[in-house]
Amino acid sequence: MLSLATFGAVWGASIAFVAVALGLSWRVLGILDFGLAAVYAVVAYVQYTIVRDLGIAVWLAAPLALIGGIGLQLVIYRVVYAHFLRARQSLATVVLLSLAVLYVCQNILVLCFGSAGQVILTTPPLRLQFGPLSMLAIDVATVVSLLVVLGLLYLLFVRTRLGLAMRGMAVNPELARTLGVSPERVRAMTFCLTGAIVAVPAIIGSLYDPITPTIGFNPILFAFAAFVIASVRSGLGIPQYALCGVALGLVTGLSLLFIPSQWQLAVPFAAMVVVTIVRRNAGPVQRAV
Amino acid sequence: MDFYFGVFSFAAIYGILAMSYTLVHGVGGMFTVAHAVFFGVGAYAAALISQLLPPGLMVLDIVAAALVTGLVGAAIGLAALKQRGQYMMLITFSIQIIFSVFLINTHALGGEDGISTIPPFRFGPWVLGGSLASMILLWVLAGLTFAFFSYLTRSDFGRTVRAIREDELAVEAVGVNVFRMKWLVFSLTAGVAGFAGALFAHVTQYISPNSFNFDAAILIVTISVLGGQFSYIGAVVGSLIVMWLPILVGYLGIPGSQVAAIIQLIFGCTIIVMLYLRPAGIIGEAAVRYADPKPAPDVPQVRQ
Repeated sequence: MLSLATFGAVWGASIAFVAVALGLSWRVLGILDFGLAAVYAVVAYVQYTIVRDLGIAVWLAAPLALIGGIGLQLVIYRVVYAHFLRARQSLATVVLLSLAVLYVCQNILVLCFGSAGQVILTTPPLRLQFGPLSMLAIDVATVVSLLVVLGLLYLLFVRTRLGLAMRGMAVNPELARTLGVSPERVRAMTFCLTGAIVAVPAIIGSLYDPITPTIGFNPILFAFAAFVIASVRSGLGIPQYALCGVALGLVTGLSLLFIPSQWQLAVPFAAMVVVTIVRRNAGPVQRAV
Repeated sequence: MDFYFGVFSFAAIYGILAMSYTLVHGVGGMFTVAHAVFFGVGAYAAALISQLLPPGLMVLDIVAAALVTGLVGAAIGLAALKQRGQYMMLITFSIQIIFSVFLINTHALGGEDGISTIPPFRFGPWVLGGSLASMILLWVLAGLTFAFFSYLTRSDFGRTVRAIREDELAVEAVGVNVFRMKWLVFSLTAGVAGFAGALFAHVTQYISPNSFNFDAAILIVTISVLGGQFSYIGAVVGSLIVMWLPILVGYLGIPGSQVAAIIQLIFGCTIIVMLYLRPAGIIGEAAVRYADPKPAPDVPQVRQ
């Protein structure tokens, strides 16, 4: 049970990253960015290419992959979303766009790298012992990274003008515009920020596990469920998204005590349906794109 | 030649499916991503029911599959339609994911391997497969679906549904039971999607979860966006293009292992380009004129 709880907590931390990025996209930009799954996969493959093909050390490859994630999001924003966000398209249109972005990136990866799993590090991962609890160092790194990222986000949103502008766009976009906030700049920076947030679990999670072009699909699905269950109504809701992500990971991990692992994916979505139906009109609040 | 008849047959089946999506999404304004679920329920229902029926009565299994799917759609609609806009999308998205997991892990439905013992559908002397006769039959069914949906859209019922799409609160204010109208449309389109699924099961004689997963949901959306989200003709045109695309890619001499990725890549790019250049799809504007041939007499015409 302890090992399942540990697995769930670490998985939950990975979900939390993506849920926070998804939540930020929604609260600031008004879009459900399923394309984040593509960023997750691309970052993993950038790291793979840097480490395996170019022979560069992981500690140097990781920041380069992070920059890759940020750059990709910026390109996606400029090429795909900028026009639609300016034109204030419907939610359906923007969701379709994000799914299309996911498909395009995913299949470019299939064409470049094939669909078989690729491994970055073949050495066995370092294991740490905390009393009765045994954890992989990489899992500890995931949890610690989440805390660090949450701390940095707190500083960004509380101490910087950019953070203030993002909060303004999230709370009242029209008023923020009137008060001189540049929507273009805030949108571009939000895309960069979500790219960076999603890149972190992608970098850590792809070190030892095989990577495939669809590697980002499961995290985005779980994160989507966490995002809906969090039902943030005001502010940016970053702590709520993170907590819901971790909680959902824990519940999914512990659910393995009662149900086979193949049914794992059904757990968050069943929870999401129940929450949405029981708490009528739960989930993210509709907002103008 | 049978191969090309087969491609046209699939185009007819997906055309029926896409037309049902057009009614619920384009005309009804309900953004659902669970249409592949109804397609799948119809296919599996037909596959299971056909095992119980003698060959001469196979038309019954298609009707039964459509009814079963309509009931499933009605049940899902009861939950999903209580929500508005994004919430409905969230519920249907979840149902699509749960359905995929359910199919893969239910051994009674063949699990990941699916069901491969589905008899070909017999309709009098015709066997649905790759033959010219079956292709004609499927296009006749697609034509009937088109005629039915077009009639429905022009009727008072259709006008009310379109009015709900434009302003739900206003329609509710004049005493229309909005939920019931939406529920009827949702259930009806689910039934028609199930009908298409039943035809699909008999034509392919093999079904597996891969045909009804999230990729299938995206395929339906791609057909709709490409042809025209508000047009039944657009749905059929989109279906024809999407069904022929893999054949055309095959002609380019691309290795078989890459064809699927290239097709999906083209689908993704198509959605982005179409939404950018022509959001109403290839047939978009013509369809709007078709849907409203005569404006109401008391509404002044506005020159575009």
